[in-house]
Amino acid sequence: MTMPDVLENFLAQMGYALLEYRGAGAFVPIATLPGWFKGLWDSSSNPIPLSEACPFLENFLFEAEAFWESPSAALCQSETWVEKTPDGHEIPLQARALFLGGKRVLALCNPGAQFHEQVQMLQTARNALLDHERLAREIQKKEILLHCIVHDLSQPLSVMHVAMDCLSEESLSERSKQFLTLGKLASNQQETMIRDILHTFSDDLRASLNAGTEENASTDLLACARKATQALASTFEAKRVRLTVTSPDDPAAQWLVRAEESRLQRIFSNLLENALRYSPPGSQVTVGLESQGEFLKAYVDDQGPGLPKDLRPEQIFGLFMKGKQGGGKAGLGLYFCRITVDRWGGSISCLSLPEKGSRFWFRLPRAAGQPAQPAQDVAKIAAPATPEPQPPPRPLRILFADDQPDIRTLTCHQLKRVGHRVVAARNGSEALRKIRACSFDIILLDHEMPGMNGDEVASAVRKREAGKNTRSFLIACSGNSGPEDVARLKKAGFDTVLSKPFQLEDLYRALAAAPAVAPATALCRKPSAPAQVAFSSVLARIGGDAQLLQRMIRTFLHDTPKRVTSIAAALRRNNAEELASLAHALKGSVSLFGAEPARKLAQDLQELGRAGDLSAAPTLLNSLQEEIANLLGNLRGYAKQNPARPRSAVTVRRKPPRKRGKRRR
Amino acid sequence: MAHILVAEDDATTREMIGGILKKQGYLVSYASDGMRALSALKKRKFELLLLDIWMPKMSGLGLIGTLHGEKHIPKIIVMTSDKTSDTVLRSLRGQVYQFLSKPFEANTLINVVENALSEDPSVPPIEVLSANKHWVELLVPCERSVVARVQSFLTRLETDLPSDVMEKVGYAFRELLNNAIEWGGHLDPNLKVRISYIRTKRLLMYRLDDPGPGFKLEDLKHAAVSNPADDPMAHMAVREQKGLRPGGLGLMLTQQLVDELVYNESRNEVVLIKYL
Repeated sequence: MTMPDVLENFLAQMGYALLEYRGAGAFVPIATLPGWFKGLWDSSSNPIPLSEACPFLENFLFEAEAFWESPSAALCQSETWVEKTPDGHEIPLQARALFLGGKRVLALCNPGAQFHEQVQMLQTARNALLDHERLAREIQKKEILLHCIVHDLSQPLSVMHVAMDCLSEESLSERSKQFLTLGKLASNQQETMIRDILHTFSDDLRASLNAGTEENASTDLLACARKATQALASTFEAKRVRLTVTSPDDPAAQWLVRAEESRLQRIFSNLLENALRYSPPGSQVTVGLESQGEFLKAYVDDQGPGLPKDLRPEQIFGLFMKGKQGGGKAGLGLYFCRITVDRWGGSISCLSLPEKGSRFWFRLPRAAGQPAQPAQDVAKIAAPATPEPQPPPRPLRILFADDQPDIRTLTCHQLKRVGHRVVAARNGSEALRKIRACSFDIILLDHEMPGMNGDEVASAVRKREAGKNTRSFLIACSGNSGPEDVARLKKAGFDTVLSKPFQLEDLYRALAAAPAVAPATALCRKPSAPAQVAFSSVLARIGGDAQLLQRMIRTFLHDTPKRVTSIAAALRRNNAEELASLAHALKGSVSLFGAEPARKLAQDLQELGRAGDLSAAPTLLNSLQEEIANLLGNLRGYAKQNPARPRSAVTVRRKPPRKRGKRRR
Repeated sequence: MAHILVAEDDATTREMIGGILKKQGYLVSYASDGMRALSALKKRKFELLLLDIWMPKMSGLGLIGTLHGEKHIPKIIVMTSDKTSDTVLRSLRGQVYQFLSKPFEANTLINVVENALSEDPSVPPIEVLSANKHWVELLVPCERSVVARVQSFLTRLETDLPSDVMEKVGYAFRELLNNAIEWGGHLDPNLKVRISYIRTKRLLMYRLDDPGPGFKLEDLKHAAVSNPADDPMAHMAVREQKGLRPGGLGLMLTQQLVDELVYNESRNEVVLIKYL
């Protein structure tokens, strides 16, 4: 074979047809024509009138002729097009204009295998895209599930904590205490686990959450509705259900709500999917928006069978609630909508439309900085409803607002038990009403409450206080207590944040922080107000025997001043050992009355004595004397209020109830 | 009627303890320091001595030392807020019946006193084989009340640990000791369980050696620890069949609370380890 033969053969094998242009749409082959060429076109005439046979080439010739007239460095190549053979085979082709040896040459190529590969690739890419979408939906679903689980798991945990703390302050048998310890241990473990789950799985979730709850973060409700509608357009089309978004009457209106965009969109998609599920083919689903004062409302109407008669709207938004006819998958969609809207301080519900079909609607508060809430509203809130009553010095007056009845009951009980005056509120607006009616030293607000949330109450309280000489200590109880959350809550007017679920000691710690941070309330308590004896718990500790408590107080009042004097004497004599021993005994007796500051001081003194270094002792003794004076005053007050029974009764009591003692053994 | 001596230098505390105990029908006498307690003990026979450690003239520990070798020594319950290991170990060596942390509640006091006084006199005392702060080794009779007593001492050797570790280890140890006494020793006070407590810088270890023949895991169908992975509640059905109270989670919980739980071949000895 000669070289040109080889080349010719090679070109044919590669699927190339080389043709010289003879003008007027006619070509002469300059090499052996490949098989496919002959299958497509009649190659018997010479030259071959190719542009007649192939309209695509006819068009390409314009480009090719321009190239041949003034050749450029750029390629002159056609798109790929497809020709059909008489027996129906499709052959992809590509054309290219060339100058070869001064001749105007057209190279036709059948990319064959390459083309199939490309198609394959496109197909794979499309599948990957579909997979990606499916997985993304799956992840979204998991996220929702996770959110629901964590939300629902952590709520009863708060109740468990507080319930067990309350229980531990009752007088219990050793055995019951063991059970209680075990229970506490387990609930702490559970809390850790829930926190771990949150940590591990919801970093993205949290990131979006934080971004969404920034002070100025707002989302356009209308834009969101449109985006969700667009995303679902093809699904609706496939089921032949029309989907429209009603344009608002006032095109210039602002539709900014306080919400996080991706979740808001998810709410729309959930409602739309739900509507589609119940829509017969040919019917219509409409999304609309309305302005309602401080709120913006969105609704989704369908023309389906309407709501089931036996279910209340709240039940429809319940967890794992599935429709009877071909319903959703997990029963989480509407539940997610509810907890999310609740969380943002909005509300959600549904109703049957009069003609046919149903309406699912939700409303969200307008974003801050919007003109819908004029200043006079705020002024109204700020106006005091009643003159403030002059507060007594102690105990603390506390308002506790939480929408969960169990946590409300338990926490109030606990706070009352340690001697505070507590008023409970079931939601934000009730809290505000009560705050207007009388003043509180400490206001504890759950962050997520229906209607008016903690933030709103807090800012209302701060506005109300503006220009006055009082300042309540505001504590937020929140499930989200990351640094950003805390910063945001403080910006809203809170003094501190109590992370939920909280335990009693956390609560006490938060309360203890109050006087130091809020000196402006000096008129109702001194920053270093003396500790009060919690007589109810002292009484509980000694088995509820009030007479015994009276005798103990009498002994203590008689004994303690002498003891303090002896400590002072020991210090004067520089007798460290004696001082340690006396301080130790004093420590024991003050701890019987739960007088923690005095106990701590006595212990410090005792340690100084044991260490033999009394240099710091005089200062400690001074403080101790102050604490003891306070304690003694406290005890005297109690003894006066609860006078002991007459002597005769005491004598009677002294006869030991023997039978009972025996039976117990 | 049992006669109890309360040796306590703080009058208010004395008043409280006396008040609570008299109400239960006990006869109570008081001593305001160690010397007075000693002379009271020499004059009269007491069933029980509630002893404070830090007292003027003669401390509680001093009194215990003096009493050592006397003919009739009442059962001693040490009440103190002092949690130093030295106090605990010396009390153990001095045959103190139980430790009671101050401040305590009325119910706790009543329970401890009742248990101490109602104990069968034939129950042999706890034998102390070693009592230093790194290694405590005891031989205890297989008797139910011994669990709380032993624990009242040993937990005080752990007060430097975080409270959750103390609670976890405490629970695990209690569970194992209960098992040893109940299943290994069949609650027979003449049989003994040997307890070793070993404490190093990085580790806390308990070893329990019970007098029983051990057990097979197959015999534990009534306990959650032997449930198959796919049926975490299988033991409940077994318990119901056998007429046992609901529960059986002890061993499984124990496994989760400590770092290592190892049995010997016949399963009558067990070691639990918590890394510090």
